[in-house]
Amino acid sequence: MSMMHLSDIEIQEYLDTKTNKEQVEKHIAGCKKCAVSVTDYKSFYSVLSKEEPVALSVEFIAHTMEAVRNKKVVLGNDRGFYLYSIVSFISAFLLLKYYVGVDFSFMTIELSYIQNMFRDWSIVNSAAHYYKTSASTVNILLFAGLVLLFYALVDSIMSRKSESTMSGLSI
Amino acid sequence: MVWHLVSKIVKSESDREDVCQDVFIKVFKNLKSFKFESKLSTWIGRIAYNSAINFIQKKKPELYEDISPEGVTLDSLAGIEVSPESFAGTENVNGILKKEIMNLPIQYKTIITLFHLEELNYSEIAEITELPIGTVKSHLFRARKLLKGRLEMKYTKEDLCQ
Repeated sequence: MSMMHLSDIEIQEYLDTKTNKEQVEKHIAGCKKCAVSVTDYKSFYSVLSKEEPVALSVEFIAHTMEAVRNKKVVLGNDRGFYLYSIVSFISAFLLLKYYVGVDFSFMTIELSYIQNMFRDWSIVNSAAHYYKTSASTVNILLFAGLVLLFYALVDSIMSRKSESTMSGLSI
Repeated sequence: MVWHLVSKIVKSESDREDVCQDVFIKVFKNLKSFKFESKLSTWIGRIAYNSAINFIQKKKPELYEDISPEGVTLDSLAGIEVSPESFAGTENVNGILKKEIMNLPIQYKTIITLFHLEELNYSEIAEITELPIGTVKSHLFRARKLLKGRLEMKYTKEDLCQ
């Protein structure tokens, strides 16, 4: 290094990381040409440091935060959607079978446990006894609950559909 | 850092905003998968870099600027336009520098921005750009040499030291 001049790469590496610090400093102490090159690069580095960071506009930050928030809502629904749907489908099935009277006997899935539970109304009677009320009150509340769950299914599907077109973001 | 990275790679202002939003949503969505094996800023930087690169590669061919800096020489840059402001000497150093950095090839301007503006080291830049450290160093050295040459060709020391 002491015999030859420093290359651009050696000078930059020295300025970046102080690689071969002692050798480079020893060399430039005795080599005017390389000392000028190092000074030249140092002043170029100081010019580079004059690039100022961009200050983001308030509108941009607001738009970005809104987009993230919108996506958060959609993600939240994604997570809950399947559980929501399963519960709603079961409630819809129970509504149709036990309150509307639709015959699902053609279905191959055997839901004997649920059928037996509702056939003798043991759950309704037990609940009525527990809450010290009549079986018909429990029956009405159960019906209302199932209607609400069924409504939840429709609401979930509709809101999912509208959110997919809401922000126009492509992930 | 996200904006600096994206703005160096994506040309259109509105596209930059879209890409930045995309980056923040990806960060939010994948935050659980961050394993603290690197700095959070480096991880976000890599998402920003990949999103911007993917974006420009999906753009139409006429808008696509080659990422690779191969074949760029000082001679090939002689025809680059100089703005009226710089002729008149009214452009400040920040403006001159930003414009000249924007004229560099994508990988050069990305790496030079990460090193000088974001003050990252070679290995952090290598992690963000997924390039070997040796390549990062050689791109950085060439980028500086190219930029220095251009600035010296078009501006006086007084212009740059104002």
